[in-house]
Amino acid sequence: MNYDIIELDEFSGKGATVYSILLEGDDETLFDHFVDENKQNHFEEVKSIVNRLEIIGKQTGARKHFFKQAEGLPGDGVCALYDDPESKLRLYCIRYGSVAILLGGGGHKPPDIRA
Amino acid sequence: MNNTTKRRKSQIISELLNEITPVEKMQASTKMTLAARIDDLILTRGYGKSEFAEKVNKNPSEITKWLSGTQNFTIDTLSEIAVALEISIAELFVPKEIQVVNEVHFVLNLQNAQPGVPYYTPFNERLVERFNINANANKKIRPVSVSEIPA
Repeated sequence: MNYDIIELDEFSGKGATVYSILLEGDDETLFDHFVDENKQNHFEEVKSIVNRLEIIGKQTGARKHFFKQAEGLPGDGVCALYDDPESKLRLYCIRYGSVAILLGGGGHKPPDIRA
Repeated sequence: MNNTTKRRKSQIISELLNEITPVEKMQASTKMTLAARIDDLILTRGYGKSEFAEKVNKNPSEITKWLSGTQNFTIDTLSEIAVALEISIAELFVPKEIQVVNEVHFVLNLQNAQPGVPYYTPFNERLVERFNINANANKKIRPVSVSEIPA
């Protein structure tokens, strides 16, 4: 499956560069899909995640403690970014140190279930 | 499709960012930068998470929450952290200093320097101009750091 890695201009800055994936044949990135799928039922949560991503990109960098680690298979590097404060929504990411993150999809899941 | 990296703006993201109020922005930013500052200070002091947890008499899971960027700290908690780190509460809100990681000191010793011949350094040609080298130059030029070079 072919894809493009898209740098998201709205988030990227001196803290970190933020990317998502655009699959072949699609007009929207995986992160755009995440927003579309969840903004109706979880608007405040999506807004919180977007807020945090902007701060990560423009200010703090993708610090390890902002993400919940080991959300995917062992060793695949997948972590999750949650909304604040209720942690209802999770966005799956891959961190590359604190300088780059790759955003995937995600959604609402009970806290005890991993990807 | 070439599996290449491109940049683009997203209408969806822009619209959402416009929905975030200044208060929400400030709250999230303060929590996250404070968490980052505490994390850096813990590392600078040489503590691991468990070690610091012991120092403040908390569970390591509590420290994880503190560093997550979502904690709404009370004055009492900030006081405990500040005392453990041996700083004032105000210092928790001071931005991290940008460290200079490359400072160059070198001595130029030119014998038989010719007037009108430009001499360049690998770092900054203005350094040579500043010292006004003349034909009888046979002197050591004092060491100077890059920070002294006028812009």
